[in-house]
Amino acid sequence: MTAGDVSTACREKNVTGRARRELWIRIIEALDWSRVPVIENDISGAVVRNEERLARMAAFIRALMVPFLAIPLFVWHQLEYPVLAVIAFAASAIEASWFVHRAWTRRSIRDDTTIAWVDTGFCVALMVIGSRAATSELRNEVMTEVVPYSLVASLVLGFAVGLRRKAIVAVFTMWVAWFLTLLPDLTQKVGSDLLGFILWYMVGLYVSCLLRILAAQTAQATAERHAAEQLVAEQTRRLELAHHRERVRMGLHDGVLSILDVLAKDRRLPADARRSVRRGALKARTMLLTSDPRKTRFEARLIELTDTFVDLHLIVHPRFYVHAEPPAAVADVVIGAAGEALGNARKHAGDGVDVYFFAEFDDGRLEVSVIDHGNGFDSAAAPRGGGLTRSFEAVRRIGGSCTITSIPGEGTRVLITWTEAPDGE
Amino acid sequence: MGSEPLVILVENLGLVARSLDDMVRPRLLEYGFRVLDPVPGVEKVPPITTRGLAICDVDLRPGLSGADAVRRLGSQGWSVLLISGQASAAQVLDAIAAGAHGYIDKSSPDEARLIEAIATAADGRKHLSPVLAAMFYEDKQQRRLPHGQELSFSDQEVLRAFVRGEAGGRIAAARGLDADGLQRALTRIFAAAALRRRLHQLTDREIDILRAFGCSPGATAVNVAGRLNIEVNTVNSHLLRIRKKYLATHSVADAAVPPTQQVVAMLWARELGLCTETTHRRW
Repeated sequence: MTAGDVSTACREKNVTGRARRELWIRIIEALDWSRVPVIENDISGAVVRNEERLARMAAFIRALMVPFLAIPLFVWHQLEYPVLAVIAFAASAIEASWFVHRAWTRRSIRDDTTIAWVDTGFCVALMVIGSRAATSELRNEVMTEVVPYSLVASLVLGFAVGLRRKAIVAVFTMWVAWFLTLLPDLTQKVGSDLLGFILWYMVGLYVSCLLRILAAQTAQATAERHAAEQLVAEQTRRLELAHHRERVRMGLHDGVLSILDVLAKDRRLPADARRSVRRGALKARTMLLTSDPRKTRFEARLIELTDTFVDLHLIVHPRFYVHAEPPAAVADVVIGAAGEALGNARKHAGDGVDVYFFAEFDDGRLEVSVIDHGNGFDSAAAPRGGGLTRSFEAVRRIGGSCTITSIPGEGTRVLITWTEAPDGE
Repeated sequence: MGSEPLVILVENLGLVARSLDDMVRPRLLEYGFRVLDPVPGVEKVPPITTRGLAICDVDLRPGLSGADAVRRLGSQGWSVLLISGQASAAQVLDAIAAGAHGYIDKSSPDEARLIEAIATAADGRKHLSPVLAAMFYEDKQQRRLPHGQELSFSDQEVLRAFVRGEAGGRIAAARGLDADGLQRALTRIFAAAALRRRLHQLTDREIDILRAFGCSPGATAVNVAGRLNIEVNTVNSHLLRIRKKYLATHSVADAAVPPTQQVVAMLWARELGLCTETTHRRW
């Protein structure tokens, strides 16, 4: 064999191995319903209804098998212990009733190991006790009526426990029990009986897996449709909002702001009238800038603070970039400090001075600044904290910092910063 | 024509034009500028061979407006300083990307700053007002430049300081820069802003489709194709590209599922002011 032949043989072996693995994976996927994804958002109830149907299907089959156990009673005189046949029939009726009641009231047998173990245990007991009713020669014939009832236990294992080792052990236990209880009357039929336990278990796995996949897909599709409907509603709302904002913007731009801007500069008007006009224009611009409904609560409070000071005749230019909600305690302190800084600007910066109010919270870092290009003051002569004594201390208490820099004639800058601790505290 | 720098005001609102002209003309004459009479559109601006600055309203519709107006003025030899009352950020940024040297808000009553901006732009340098800095900053957060093309940390801090409202002199002093150093930083900031606008920029055909599709409620690819005399498949391909560009340049983090092509067309057309038939005169 040449090196090339070896290589080809290896490649073929690899391909065959891969194909086998893929086939095995497909078989497992078709039988193991524990792999079916859990749909969290089952708004249609498809998964719940499917479990209900599976439980009822199992209960229905379990109940239908009870009459089979009445058949041995027709050969009463041939039985060795006919009373055992009566007990087996009565017990199966009771067990089936309990099974139906449990499955009906719980509306699901998925992962209901109690129902599976009780049913399996009962079937083993039924084999042992039922088989004793007949003589050894008649045992195989009489036990034929027990087969359908016992096979359902395999099906229930498939529905309730799934492809797990303990379910396979339970099927094997029934298998052994069946074999032993028939002794010594063993015929070729034993083989088909034993195969039946495995096949019904497989059928239970396959049917429940198939139905659970279908239910999950239905639930997923319904959830996606619901999400799409919500999206359409949200997008329609955003579109209407965009329409509205555009109309307001154009209305203000063409009809109001241009005129207000001209009036604010018209020296024929008294100074206080020009200031009022400018304040009106500023409020309109602030409204346009901050009309995004998606803003955080902190940003809403910053806007409220801006409005308050604009109403107090301060020319405030807001610039807010708040990408997350800072902790409430931090927000309270920072808003308080910013309010105090704006208050100081109003009192000391000078008449008609522009004040820039900036806030940004991103990547756990909060920065707020109030900057004016007004009168300023001599930092050396001013008290510690530059008139922000209370806020200064409050900001420090939450682990932040507050710096005030001012140059006479050039204005004042108040900078407040706070950084979130790495553990989020 | 003398050698002193020229200034012309391009403003289609007569009232605003007169007011601005009255305000700045005496000061500009003191500075040694030659001030031409205001004109209502860029079409009326004469070509020049000497230094000249056009103070141009961003929104001059129905005439040449925004970026188109800046390009036209540039081709006539003018530097451009944009001015507006409430133009959208997209209009301003596109006009800046077309070569304007700065943007100032009409509402600013501070004559000294207005004159400073005019002098800076007339000198061929960049002027960054707090309002334009804020537009740059927001655009930077939405349109990330590829690795290696983004602003350096130092330039980002300069931009941020302008957004905060700090004065240029203090920004430079805090970073140990002289006037030229600050101007170089501003040139890089303007260049990055222009690059950002070119990234995922809409083509003329895409804008046509955006206008046809986004401004007519109930429009379908079929009737848009009919109106523009192109294939339906071409319209659909453009819509796909438009949506891709929109998602790359807009934050849709709040949406559970990204917006559909139709919604994108409607939102973007409005954002770009394509659906606005109202002009100052028609209002």
